[in-house]
Amino acid sequence: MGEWIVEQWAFPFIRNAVIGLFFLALAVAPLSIFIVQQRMAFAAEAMPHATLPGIILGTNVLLALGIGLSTFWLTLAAFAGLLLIVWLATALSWRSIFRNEAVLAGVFVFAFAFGVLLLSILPSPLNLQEFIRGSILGLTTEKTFGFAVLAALSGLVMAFLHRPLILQTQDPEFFGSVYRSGWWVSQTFMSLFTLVLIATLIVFGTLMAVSAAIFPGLIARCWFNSLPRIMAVSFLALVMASWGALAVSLLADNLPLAPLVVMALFGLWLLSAFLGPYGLRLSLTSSSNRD
Amino acid sequence: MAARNWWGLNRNLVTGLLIRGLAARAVPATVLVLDFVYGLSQDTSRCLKFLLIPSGGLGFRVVLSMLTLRSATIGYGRQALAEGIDLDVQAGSITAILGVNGTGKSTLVKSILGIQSLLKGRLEWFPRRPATIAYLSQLNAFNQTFPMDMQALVATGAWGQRRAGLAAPAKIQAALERVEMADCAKMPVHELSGGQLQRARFARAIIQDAPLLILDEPFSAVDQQREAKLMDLILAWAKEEGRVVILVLHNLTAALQICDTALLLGRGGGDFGPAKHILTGERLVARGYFTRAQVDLLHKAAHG
Repeated sequence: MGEWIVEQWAFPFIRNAVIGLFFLALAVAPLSIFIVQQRMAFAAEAMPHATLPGIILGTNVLLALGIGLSTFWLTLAAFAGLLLIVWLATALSWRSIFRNEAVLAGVFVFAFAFGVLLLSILPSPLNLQEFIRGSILGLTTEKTFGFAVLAALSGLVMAFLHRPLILQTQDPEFFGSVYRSGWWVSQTFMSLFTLVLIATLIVFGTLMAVSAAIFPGLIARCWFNSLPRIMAVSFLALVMASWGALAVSLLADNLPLAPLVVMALFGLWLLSAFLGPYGLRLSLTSSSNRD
Repeated sequence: MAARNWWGLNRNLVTGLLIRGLAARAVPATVLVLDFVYGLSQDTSRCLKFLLIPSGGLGFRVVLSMLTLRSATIGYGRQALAEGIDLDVQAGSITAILGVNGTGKSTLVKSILGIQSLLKGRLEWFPRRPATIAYLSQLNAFNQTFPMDMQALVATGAWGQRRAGLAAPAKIQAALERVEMADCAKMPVHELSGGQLQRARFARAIIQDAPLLILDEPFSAVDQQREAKLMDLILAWAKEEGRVVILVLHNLTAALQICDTALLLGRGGGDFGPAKHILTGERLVARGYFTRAQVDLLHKAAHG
């Protein structure tokens, strides 16, 4: 086993994958529990599809300008497109009388539908298959470095944002009394999540990116009741699952990474739910007031 | 930075003192003259006299209101819940807001907090809006599954404050003791019962250490013995420490026991004044708080 690891480590693309997954987990860890707690898990599942209009318009604009389809510019186009959609969705859901996640899901699906229509009008030279499946072994050193910057940014933004975000998630009315104009909290958080999601998309593909962001929070919640510990365990869970999945996909030739990561995360979650102190019991006590 | 004028004095302080000095003399004098010339109605003079608190020296001292509402309309969007609301909330006073469901109690509270704006009318602060307003909202919007222990929940009370930001452990401990929750400080919030959660949030309001406290149905789900202790705490805030407390209540007895003034909302309007004058059988029936039969029954029970 040790020999095998040393052997694999010699390949630069595997080194990049290992380091990239580490930083990706670091970037996702502080956000995961908030996505779960703000009841956005389901809505977020529709979010990656909303990158479609950005990608298609982006490729056409980039080709028209003669910039070419480099990863950097494509990522930027996808991010800018998704960010616009997310800002629109967040602004609409802010203080709407509808449930937050219903508005988000609606806008994301609208963006997807718009993207599908665009696709039939504007031809895109991109291989969308790769976009849907993601690719871990395509991580270049530059991309890995980008993930490290992202992890630092995620930590920094959350350090500034965690207090208002906690109050908003836990007690929205109290939050309103402390931060009277609070729309910027949702907008900043969703923007950061958009950025992290784009990175997750690159590795895990559109279909499974969000699961990788949601499971860590679910797993950690089973074990701990304090935010710093939950964030630490979220990180550990995602790093363990993705490294394990990477090893399996290398050993069993050509098994795709993303489904393996989701399998591993699901297994960890089941284990945590049954063994953790706040696992399955939580759902029995949380909603009932025992007075 | 405080605004300074050319002779180096704090301008806000100077204007503040000037206004206070003028108002302290002019307002009582005007009231006395008006009363003498026009013979004010009983209700009006009662309201005006309430503004004047006898003191040494000039005979009267004006207690300026920290918060005033003048002919305010509250509601959501185009739907007005109550119109023509007047409110004077003074230093060291406890004000009750009463009314049946849907008369705009919580909406009024949100308007005062600035979460929502008035549809009409004016909301004025003197000398300015306090930097911190402690707020105990209703339980229904609270997400009890958020990972946190009770101690941490109480500590979040210090978060909105510009200076402190972190509550000292001793302060948290003292607040927990006031609400009799010190023994379960480490309990996860999702395991608290409704009454325990309400008391924990009460402790958070203590940590906020604010000159104005707005408590929306603070005693809901709290047992009667502990309710009495919390009422003592509220009384001490107002009478010993001079804080201002606004309570949204569903309990007439509590309102009469501890509140100086009351705002009774109902039938699209509201009455404000000293609690004993507002919470009368006539007005309670007029504002739809009680039926005539209920008032008669209470009257019989009280007088045998």
